[in-house]
Amino acid sequence: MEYTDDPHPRNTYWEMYGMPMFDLVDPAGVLMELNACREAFPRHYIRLMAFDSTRGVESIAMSFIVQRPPHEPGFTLQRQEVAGRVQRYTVVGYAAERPEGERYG
Amino acid sequence: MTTLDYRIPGQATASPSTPPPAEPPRSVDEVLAQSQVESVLAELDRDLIGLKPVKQRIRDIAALLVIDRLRQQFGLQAQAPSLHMCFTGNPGTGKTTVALRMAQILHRLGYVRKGHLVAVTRDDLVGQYIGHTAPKTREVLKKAMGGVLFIDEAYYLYRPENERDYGQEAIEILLQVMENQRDDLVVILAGYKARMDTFFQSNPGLNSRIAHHIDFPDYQPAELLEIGERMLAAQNYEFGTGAREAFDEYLALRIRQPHFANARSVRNALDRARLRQASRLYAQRERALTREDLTTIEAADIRASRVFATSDATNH
Ligand SMILES: Nc1ncnc2c1ncn2[C@@H]1O[C@H](COP(=O)(O)OP(=O)(O)OP(=O)(O)O)[C@@H](O)[C@H]1O
Ligand SMILES: [Mg+2]
Repeated sequence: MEYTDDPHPRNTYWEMYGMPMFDLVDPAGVLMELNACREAFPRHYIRLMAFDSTRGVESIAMSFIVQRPPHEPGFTLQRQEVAGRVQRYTVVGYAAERPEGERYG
Repeated sequence: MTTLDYRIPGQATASPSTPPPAEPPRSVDEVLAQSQVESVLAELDRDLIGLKPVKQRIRDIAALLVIDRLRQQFGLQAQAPSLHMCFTGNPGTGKTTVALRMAQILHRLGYVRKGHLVAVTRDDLVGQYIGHTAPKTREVLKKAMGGVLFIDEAYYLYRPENERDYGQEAIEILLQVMENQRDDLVVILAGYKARMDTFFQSNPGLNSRIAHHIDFPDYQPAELLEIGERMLAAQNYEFGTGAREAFDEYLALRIRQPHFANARSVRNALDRARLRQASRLYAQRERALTREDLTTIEAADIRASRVFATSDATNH
């Protein structure tokens, strides 16, 4: 289970909440941890990632977002004029203007 | 209830779930037929010798859950009953064994979703330093969700002599989950009666959350003998001529000695008898051993026990 308040789509490395969970028999165990995480970070993004060791690989088999901030102001498209008539584009989240931990109110 | 049937590639097939019933059950028989709980109860009766009060209580709980099911068919609301339990009794009276069965029974009755048993003691719940205990306890709780959490010798969780002991922290987390997540988890505490009573006195919160206090009586000599015979039969052994009587005498002596642990002492005694049987046969190198030789515990294998020696010494 991981959380972040940096909304950029290229933000891959989120903070881990608690320990990775192994050998749970029932989803109630995951929900217990998720509810604790929601309480601690009510305005962050939270995602769950699943690994499947039976495939013999340690990469993510499944990943989904389970919580978003209540209000997401979205992104702005920034254009940068460079040499000649070339333009470069980049997206910047409005929420990311504020420092980490102070975003999303 | 719908059952999702999905499979992760490379994973073993999930155990087949019982198909959803076409008609909701209306009679006790129908609930029993659907849940197959009768067979577990019958097995319990058959496999476990004695333990009358324990079996009776389990039947009562099963009855309550069956009737609850029928009430649900009529939309009669009632809070899910609290099934946290406390098993008290001397060593080897079958507490762990019954807890395992309990998980199965509650699963058949649909009270817990998965029906596995996670058995822990203090060391699995309580950490060594500040901030260690909560994650440890939660880890165990998460693993037990959907089944039964069995805490053996629960009184070790509480150490009044050390006021900064982390056991209290584990107890508090436990309390919270026992109260708020009854649907997800059944907690069974176990231990010796006297120490459990003191433990509950200093933790009234825990006591009040446990609906069923079940006391496991010590076994009668006749019951111990029967348990012994069952244990042998399960391992393809049997008593030879006079061996049963020898074992009966052995038990009568052993009960009076210190550290007697009921059915566990029976198991240990039989294990040692097997050892002596093996040595006896081993010594007869040239003999072709028959099936009977290999499965028979002779009276001599039992009478060679130290228990007989010490009793002779005290008689003289
Ligand atoms: N009624 C019984 N019939 C047959 N076997 C039994 C019975 N009760 C206990 N046993 C056997 O005795 C052994 C000890 O039982 P168990 O471990 O359940 O005792 P316990 O009460 O948990 O003891 P402790 O308090 O020391 O943990 C087990 O091998 C079990 O199979
Ligand atoms: Mg035990």
